Amino acid sequence: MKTLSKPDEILLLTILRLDNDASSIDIVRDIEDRTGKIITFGALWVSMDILTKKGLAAKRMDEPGESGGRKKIFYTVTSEGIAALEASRKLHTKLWQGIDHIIDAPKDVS
Amino acid sequence: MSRQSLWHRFLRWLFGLGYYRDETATIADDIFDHYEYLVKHRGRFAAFFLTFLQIAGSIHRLLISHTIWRLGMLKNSFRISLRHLKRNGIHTAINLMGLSIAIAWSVLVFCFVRDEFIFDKFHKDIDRLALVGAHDSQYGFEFTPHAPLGPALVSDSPEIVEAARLADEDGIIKIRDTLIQATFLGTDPDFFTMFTFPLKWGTSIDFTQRDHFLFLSHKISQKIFENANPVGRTIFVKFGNVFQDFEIAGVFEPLPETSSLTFDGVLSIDHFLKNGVNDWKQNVELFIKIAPESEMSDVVNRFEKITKPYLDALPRGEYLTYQLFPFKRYHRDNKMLFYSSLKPSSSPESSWILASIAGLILLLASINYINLAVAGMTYRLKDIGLRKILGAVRRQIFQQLMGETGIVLLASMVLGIIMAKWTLPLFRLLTARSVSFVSLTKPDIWLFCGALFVLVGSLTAVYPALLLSRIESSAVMRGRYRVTGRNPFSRALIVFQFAISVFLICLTLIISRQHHFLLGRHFGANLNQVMQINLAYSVSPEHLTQERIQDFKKFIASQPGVSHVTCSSARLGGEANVIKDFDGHGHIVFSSKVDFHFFSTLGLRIKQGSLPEEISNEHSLFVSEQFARKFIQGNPIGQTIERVMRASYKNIPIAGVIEDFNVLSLKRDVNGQVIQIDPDAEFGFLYVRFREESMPEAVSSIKKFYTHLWPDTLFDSIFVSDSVAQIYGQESRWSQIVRISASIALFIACSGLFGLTLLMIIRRRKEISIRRVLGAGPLQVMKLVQKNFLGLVLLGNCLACPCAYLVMHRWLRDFAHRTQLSWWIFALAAMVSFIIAALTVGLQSMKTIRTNPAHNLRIE
Repeated sequence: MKTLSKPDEILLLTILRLDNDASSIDIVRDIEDRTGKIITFGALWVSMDILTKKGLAAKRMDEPGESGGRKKIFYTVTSEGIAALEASRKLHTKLWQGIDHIIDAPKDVS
Repeated sequence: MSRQSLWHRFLRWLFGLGYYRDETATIADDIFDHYEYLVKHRGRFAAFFLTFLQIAGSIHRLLISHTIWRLGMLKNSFRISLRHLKRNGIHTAINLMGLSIAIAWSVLVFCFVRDEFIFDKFHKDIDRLALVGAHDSQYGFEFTPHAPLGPALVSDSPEIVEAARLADEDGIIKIRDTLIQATFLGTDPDFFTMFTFPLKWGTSIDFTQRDHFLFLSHKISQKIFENANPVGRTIFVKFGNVFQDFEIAGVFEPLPETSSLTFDGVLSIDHFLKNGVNDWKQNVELFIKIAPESEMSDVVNRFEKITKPYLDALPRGEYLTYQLFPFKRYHRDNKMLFYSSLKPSSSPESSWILASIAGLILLLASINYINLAVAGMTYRLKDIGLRKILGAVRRQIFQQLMGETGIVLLASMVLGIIMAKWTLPLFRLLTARSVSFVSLTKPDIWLFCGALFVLVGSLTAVYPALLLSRIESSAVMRGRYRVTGRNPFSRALIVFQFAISVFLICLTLIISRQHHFLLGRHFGANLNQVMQINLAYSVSPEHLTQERIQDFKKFIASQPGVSHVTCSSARLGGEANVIKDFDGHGHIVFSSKVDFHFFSTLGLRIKQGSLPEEISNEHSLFVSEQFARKFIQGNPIGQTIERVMRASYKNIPIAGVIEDFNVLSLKRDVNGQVIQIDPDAEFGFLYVRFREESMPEAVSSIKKFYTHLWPDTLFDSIFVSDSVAQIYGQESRWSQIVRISASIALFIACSGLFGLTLLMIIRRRKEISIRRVLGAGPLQVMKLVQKNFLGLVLLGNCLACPCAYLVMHRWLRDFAHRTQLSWWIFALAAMVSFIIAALTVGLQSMKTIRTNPAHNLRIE
């Protein structure tokens, strides 16, 4: 399996954090709150579209009625997406092994 | 749904432009929701700024993604198109061939027409140049203005700043032992500033300051000096009868092919105007340039008034007027030919005829495409049905089909331009014009090709694409979709194609018949063995003594390869003379004085009267039948006509009537010929009839003797058949152009028919096989197949023949002598089209008929 790119990883993790069911607005706001990075909605849509096509995420169109009176796209991470995240994390740990004496592990992230 | 602001709606529309409209449109909603959130938390200013970034960034990303998607789709439909084109190789080939031939022809015609429009436009001051003409209202003729007018106008009137008189004369350049004939232009120094003929070497010095300065054209300089710079060198040139040495002052750049002015060399006009340039009794071609601030139309209008004082000083000046013609219009205005000896101008009709032929051929090729696409629909039903089931919308299929046409068209365009480049020499020969090929770096050819692409594309692509994309998948899959072969639209198109082909065949037949008819009206004898030797123009008068001519004649007669030789005072066809008829009106007839052997040399039959060898009266006249019919009442033999003899009028009796002959154009009616037998006349032309077997040796020995008699002159000879052919060059060219275009048209129409038959036979293969099994003979099956198309060809014929009749009737009216429009011409054209169509269909169907029907039935 191909490794996930950093932006994809960020997106997938954010969706998972938001109870694995998040609208675009939720994702953008969460990422901004957490990392200070601003993602545009267009970029988000394009990236999620690609991830969906790869099968790592799924999207559903929420019909108007319950959620604010308009169409909204909700994203979820599929089991394959979770597997990809796991693989990515493993790779990460492997890569970081034995580096601790040069770069200290972060104490507090939030 | 809440009310949306205008901005919101605009953004929804903008984002919805891409693929997955529904989803991308929600991005706009997201952005607006987020904006309200931002206003609450960050304040209005930051929100505004951040939202702007949001919009710009989103558009940017979506655009990239959309483009990638589009390219993917394009690749996809390109692949589908190529696959389809490859599978139907024969049809693709037919379409490619037809379209590329049509496009090649169009490109050539475009070059031709473009040349017409840019003719002479390379002169920087073309808008300020004009040609001066003179008109005599008493006798009603046009002539070139008087020689001193140009300089007088420049010095007297402020509107006219420069003037160049032009006189052209043939000269002979002598280099070592070879002689080169060249046309020289005598002119004024203003020539260099008025016309844009840049010099390659040398400077445009004022050649009136020093005598014997000469400028050479690039072509002649190449011929003599190859690539060396000849400035400052001396050459010998003969005008009239003496060689003079000229110093070369410069060499021009190669002349543009679109120049009306052509010359091999330029020198001062003083060399050509014998009485000096300031003599009002001499006339010479004159070009003027008006001042930059003057308006050309204004000068043209006032020109008569400006020049009035000069004419008033002349005898008969009250009858004369000067007129001004803008040089810009020279190439397309036949009237200016009276005042100038420049290259003959063109007729706009030729552009129109060529363009309409190109249009017809393009139409034929487009019809092929439409017909094949529509008839081939049956085989694409499943393909398109399946694609629709898999989610393709009509628009996508339509676009893909249009793209398919685009590919074919683009390929045939490339092929067509290559073909045009290839056949350009042939086209030049056909039109007798030095058409220059478009350079691919200039925008005009791209504009033209773009226009052609759009035109032909919309002509060919839209109808089949609409028809095919309409197919409903459900109907196809249930096998309910039937395409009958009887689409009335494509049948009408076939009729139209054949109508055009037959029309062009009729034109070809009639034009070439008229051409042969005109050629046949000249002598009956074969003129390709008779040579005309022109002494009058190439040898100067003091060297052209009658004794020498007689010596020459005796020498020629003694040659073994020569059967007859005769002398004549004028060219074949004679000089124009005015003869008074019984009412005292003057008529132009052509007359010449000849010696005894004239009739036997040219093979003219004497219809009435006696052979010239037998008459006692030496100075007897022979008239042509036409002349006798027109001017003589009763029996012409013995009647007299008043003729000039040794500077006095004499009445000379008519000794005989000869059959009509004419080497002048028969387009206009002529009044016939008068031939006078006079052995002591001043002869200038020799006619020699050769025996066929030893012609080349005889010609070369005659030539040798000629240079012995008259050294340093050119041997000017032409075969009479060639000179007659030259007169009808225009007709023969058109007859060839129409013949070629008719064959192209027929070829394209038949290739379309070929493709259609192929499709029909594949569709009816099962039916044909069953018929064969049940006992139908090959002939019966053939009849079945042929019936489908030959009816259409017949209908095409019915449409074409009356049109051809009407058009050709009008065309023939321009000729004084014309062939009859007999019914068999049309019958022949119909036969030709019928046979070729039947052969095309027949050959195709033979293959199916001859295969074992069991084999065909087993395929299913």
